[in-house]
Amino acid sequence: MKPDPWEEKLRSAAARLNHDAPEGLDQRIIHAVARSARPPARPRFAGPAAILFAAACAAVVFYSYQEAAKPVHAPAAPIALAVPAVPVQPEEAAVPITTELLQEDPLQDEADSVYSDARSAVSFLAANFLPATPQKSG
Amino acid sequence: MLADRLQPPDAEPGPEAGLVRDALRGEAEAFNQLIRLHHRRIFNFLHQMARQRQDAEDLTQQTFLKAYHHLARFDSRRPLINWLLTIARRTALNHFRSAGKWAEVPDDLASPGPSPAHAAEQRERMDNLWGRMRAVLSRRQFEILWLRFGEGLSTAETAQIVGLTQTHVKVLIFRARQALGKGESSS
Repeated sequence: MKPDPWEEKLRSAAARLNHDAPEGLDQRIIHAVARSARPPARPRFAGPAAILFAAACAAVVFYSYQEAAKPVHAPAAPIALAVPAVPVQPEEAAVPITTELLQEDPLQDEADSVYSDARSAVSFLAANFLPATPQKSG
Repeated sequence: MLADRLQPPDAEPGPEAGLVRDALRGEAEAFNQLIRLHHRRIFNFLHQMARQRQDAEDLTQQTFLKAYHHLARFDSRRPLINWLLTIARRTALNHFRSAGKWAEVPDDLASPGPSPAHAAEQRERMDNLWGRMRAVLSRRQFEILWLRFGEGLSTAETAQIVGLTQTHVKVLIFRARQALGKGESSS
């Protein structure tokens, strides 16, 4: 097949239009590729900083644990104050002992407070609203 | 594993397939060899697209960086240069998009020749043909003509690089030829 003169003209013009690559371009590309392939270097202070951070975290955790392990005095005070306000029945003489025990378990402390309040309320209702024992007349 | 994927059993091994396989295995020198083989042609193509020597250098470097990081996607049934030209073209398009320019800037004719005066004269004469095409044609028509006749690719290869069908490429070349004919007859 006869080559198209127009296409041949384009080919020959393009061949003479060749732009030479700058000297050392391949080396620059090779260096750029090598740089991009290398993992990013860690800063020199990264190791000591990580150790300091870990130590600080450990200190904070230890301090928090110590604080949590201490006996809690503050919540016990209102209970201790509240108990005398309730009209004490003879069978409730054990309340102070219970209060002391509760100081070591806030949840149990709360449960017993609710129980104590309920008993006081029942006693109050019984004393005021239950009919009195009828007096036997002569 | 990736190297196994590179070479399907029914494929003709390309001339650079071994180098690509070695590069995928982590041999830096293999990829360096591929850079040395192809950087001139990629630079020349990008110089035609960007028309600025410095831009062409930067784009050539970006092209090979992208090729290096996506080498596992290379289909070794294709010639490596076609894949590199595809990357180079996309890199150039992104560059034009961000820079907002195409071609209407003067070329810096910095390549040395055997005799400076003769080379300049010859370059001016030959550059006029492609320079006229650059003035008359759209960017897409120009790049298709350059890939087809400047890089000497087939219609199928050109179509694959620009992401069009072969018919579309033929139509664009036909229209470019018509536009050039009109331009020549009117001037």
